[in-house]
Amino acid sequence: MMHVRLAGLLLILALPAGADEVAPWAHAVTAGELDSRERSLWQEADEFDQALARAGRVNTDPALTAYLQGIMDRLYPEFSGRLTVRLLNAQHINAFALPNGSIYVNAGLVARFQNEAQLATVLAHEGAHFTHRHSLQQAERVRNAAAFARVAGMLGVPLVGDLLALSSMFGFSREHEREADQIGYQRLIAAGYAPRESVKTFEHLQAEIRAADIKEPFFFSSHPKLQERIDNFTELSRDTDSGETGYERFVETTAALRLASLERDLAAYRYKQVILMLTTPAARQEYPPEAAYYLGEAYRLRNDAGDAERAETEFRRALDTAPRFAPTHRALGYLYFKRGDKAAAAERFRRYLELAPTAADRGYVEAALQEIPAP
Amino acid sequence: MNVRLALVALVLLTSACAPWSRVAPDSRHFEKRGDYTLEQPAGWVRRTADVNDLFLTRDGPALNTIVITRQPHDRKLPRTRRETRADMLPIELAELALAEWRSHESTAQLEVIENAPTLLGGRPATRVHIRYLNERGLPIERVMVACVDAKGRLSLLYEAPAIVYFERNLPVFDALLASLRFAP
Amino acid sequence: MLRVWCAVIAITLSSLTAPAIAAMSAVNPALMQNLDARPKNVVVLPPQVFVYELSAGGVPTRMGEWEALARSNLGSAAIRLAGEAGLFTARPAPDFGPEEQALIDAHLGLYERVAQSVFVYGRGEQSAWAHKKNEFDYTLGPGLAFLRERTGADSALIVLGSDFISSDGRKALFFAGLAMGMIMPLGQSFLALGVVDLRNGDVQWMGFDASSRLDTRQPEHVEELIRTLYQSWPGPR
Repeated sequence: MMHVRLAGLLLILALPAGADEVAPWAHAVTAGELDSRERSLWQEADEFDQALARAGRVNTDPALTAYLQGIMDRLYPEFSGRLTVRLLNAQHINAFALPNGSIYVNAGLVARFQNEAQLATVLAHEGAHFTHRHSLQQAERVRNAAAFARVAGMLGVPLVGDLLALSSMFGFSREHEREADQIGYQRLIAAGYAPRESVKTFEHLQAEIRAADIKEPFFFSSHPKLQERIDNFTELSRDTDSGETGYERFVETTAALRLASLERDLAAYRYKQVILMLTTPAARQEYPPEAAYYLGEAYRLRNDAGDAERAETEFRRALDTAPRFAPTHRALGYLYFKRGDKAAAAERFRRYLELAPTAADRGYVEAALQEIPAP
Repeated sequence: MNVRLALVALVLLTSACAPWSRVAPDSRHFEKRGDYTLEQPAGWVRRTADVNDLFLTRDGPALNTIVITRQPHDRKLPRTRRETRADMLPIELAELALAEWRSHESTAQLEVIENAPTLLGGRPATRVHIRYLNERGLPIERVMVACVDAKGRLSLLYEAPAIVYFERNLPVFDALLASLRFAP
Repeated sequence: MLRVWCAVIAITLSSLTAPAIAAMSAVNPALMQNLDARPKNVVVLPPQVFVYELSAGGVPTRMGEWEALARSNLGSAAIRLAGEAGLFTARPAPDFGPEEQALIDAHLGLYERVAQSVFVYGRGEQSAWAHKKNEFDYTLGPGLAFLRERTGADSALIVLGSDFISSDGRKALFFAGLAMGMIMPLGQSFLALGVVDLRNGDVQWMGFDASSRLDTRQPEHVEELIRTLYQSWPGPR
């Protein structure tokens, strides 16, 4: 009797809900061309766009936005006007694609790269999620997988195999991610970018994950592992040596963003990421002299054995190469203050207040000065 | 969010609500034995079963909250995984609090309105005032006054929507702060 | 045992066929004490209701077309029935520019928190909160006062909510589960309607519904809901 009931329930749930493969878009579709399921997804995505903007998460710098959009339009020229790239004021290395063609890239991710081709690798991948309608396919899969899980759970039947497909309930499936990698790679070559840079994209991400000592983040949890992707792209680009990197254009356009990214990483105590960036010679050379201050702060926050000395070395370097950069004076002031060298601390604090008379943290520095007896 | 509204309603309709008790004018005094005393605002409502030292609201937690928390130094902060120390400077405490909030999705894009040294019960402390937008575009403001000592870290936090509610009860929070006395 | 199951199924079937409205309300005592201050002209802001289909597995999917229907049903019922009941003259809101809309959105964000607070605490149903029934000072503040000039209205009616509607698969699962002695939750809706004084943002009246069978796509369901809620509007018609 139980088997009959189980069969009956599973039959109800196995009614096809449109989980067939769907054809990729060939052009910049409009909402009017969609069926009701997909139109609902797009509408939800439109509202998500509005919610992100309302919550102040979107970086509205017109030059940066235009730059990112220019890369996407170069990769997917026939989808110009539909694939829309926006930069998010977020530091975690992440990018995602919405069903309506909105592509979001975190500022923290952009700041990790060395050239335009590496950034284009990510944009090409995300664009493929849209053009191949992965959101629609995923939505159906999640509904059916959850239903099977529910029934099986209700009846106490243990789940066999990967019916649940838990990884598919969050983001895209492994198959979709592989497809997006392949399609993205083809787009990268067609747009004239150096395909070898795609390997470095994932090497940078892998280096950051290792440096920050975190598990491959949630964004990647359903992705093929990074090493697998590095190996795949290495194989694909083995005999290619052409294409442009867009190095100078990238460095110039993202200079302010990369510096701001250091600030934001430090403000959120993401000092490991700052140390990784600024101790990599190829990356360090693209930062201004005051970057030594940020590295010093990162060592101060990390506070491992020897970090106090490393921090002081970097602060002194910043003092030599960018003497009017006020935060360096404050940082040295606190370093001397905590060491007990009050006279040296007072000198630095006063210089800080001269250079930054309207500093928001003026109150703290003045309070510290009050604790230091006059000479 | 409207999902959240519905879920809150569901939970509260179908389950027992958290116990509350109103602060009467003649029972405002609060003592954490061996640590500190303060005067609670009369008319506010206290959540009696709470992990914090005090959880107070006037109109409901979504509209105003005062939360007072004492934690030992070795209880790591949830996002930064950092511990506090008794010898931390107020600016370091502020920096850590801001790092915690910036590491939380809902407050990652905070704006610092004020970050300055202050006194709490006569001890050096930090006062940090931020504003952030929620997913609806509603600005929320938060003020934290915190200090460290041998026992650990003590923080007093007031939060409310910036439209109407924050300014309305900021004086109440400031009065509570002024009433705090540490045990000798 | 068989009779018990028949009773359970009969009760469930009857609840499936008729909307079970669980209506609650809160009225500002200041309005109760001065009925002349009741608004005469009310602008109805576009209802913000999210409608989801709950799959058999409990996964909610937002349904854009259902939402459009729900919003239309709620807006038109709110306007028409207010007039029929002689409560006030209600009109739909005009289109707003981006800056006005941003201001309205921020206040709707506040309204959401106010509605949640009134529902849980402001009705004074818990003993520690009994005082709120009389000390009812929930407000959105004067930030929407510009709507008075813009629309000629004294007050605004705001509708917020969510409606979770069970799919056929979920209903089938419900019956199947019932036959095996398991009850699984069907859909649920939660709606908050509120009238706020545009001069100062003070909440004048709020009506709430939390029911398991309301389907906001059905005009007759929505009409019955609004009619029921409007019964708690203070004062004579």
